[in-house]
Amino acid sequence: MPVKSLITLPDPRLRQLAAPIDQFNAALAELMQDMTDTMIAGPGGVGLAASQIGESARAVVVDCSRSQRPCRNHGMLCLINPEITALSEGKALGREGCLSVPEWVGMVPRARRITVNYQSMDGQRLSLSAAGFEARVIQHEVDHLNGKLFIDRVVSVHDLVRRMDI
Amino acid sequence: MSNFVLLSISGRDRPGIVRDVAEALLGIQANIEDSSMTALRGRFTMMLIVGLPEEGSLAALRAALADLEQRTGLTLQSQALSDEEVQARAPTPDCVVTVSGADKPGIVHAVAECLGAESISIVDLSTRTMEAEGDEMYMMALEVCAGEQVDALTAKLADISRRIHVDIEVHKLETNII
Repeated sequence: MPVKSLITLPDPRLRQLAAPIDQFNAALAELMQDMTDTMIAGPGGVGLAASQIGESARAVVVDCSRSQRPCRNHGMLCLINPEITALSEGKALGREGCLSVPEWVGMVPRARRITVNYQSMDGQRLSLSAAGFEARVIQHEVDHLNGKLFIDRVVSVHDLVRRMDI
Repeated sequence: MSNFVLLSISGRDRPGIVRDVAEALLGIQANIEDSSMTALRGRFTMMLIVGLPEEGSLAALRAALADLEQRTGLTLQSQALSDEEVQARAPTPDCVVTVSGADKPGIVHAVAECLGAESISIVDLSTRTMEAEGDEMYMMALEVCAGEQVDALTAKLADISRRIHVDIEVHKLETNII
């Protein structure tokens, strides 16, 4: 399966609301395989949204077992029509970059724990709870499906002082 | 010399300072490249690197700035940058050091001396004093490039923390490319 090229800013497709998926067929399986191959080939390798290969489809792949730092994770996840239904009030600050926003990094607050409803590749409705880095990655990827990028969520160094010391 | 100029501008804070400066720069087609602007108490301070459209527009910039100074009462300074300065990228920090405690002279010096002795570069630094239950609290955040010396730095800063009675934390910045 081919590794697709990633689109980068200022490609307008990164800012579009991705379309829901209603056909759970071979074409979807092929898309998910392409996304997985592209994710694994990338330097981060822990997550990818369909929007990043220019496809308007609500699908993401996440695999935090590939993280350089060991973290709690569910292994390889294919999330179709993912919807974050619960976010913890507690937020963690982490420095994020994105393959679609080359050269930029920023401090991004993300909920520490989330619950996400999604469909499997055969259309089954499922739900999972994630925490820590995996929760961060899922929030980052679901943002892509809504046309949002981490640069929309960065906080300044002054926020960093406030959040860490008070 | 490049076509880039560093401007340092400050004035008594009021709405419209950034607009006035940006308008004057746009008037001579100067592009704001990198900048840092912040309100320090009642003073608004701006540091900007601006790109000029072509050689010879330095004179136009000087005239525009003189006009701006006269109209707005802002304090302005300009300095042409060398090609080397323009092409250099500020180093990417890998640690944030936060310092907090009761305000007294010498906090910045103690921390900066420790960093300087280890040849650790400061990329960004900001400090604030704030009232906390009647006392003046001092807070400082530094983004630094500690590289391999991060553990040594943490130990040295712990010594300083005990010596001058301030809390110092070193946070490693791990970038997650997702």
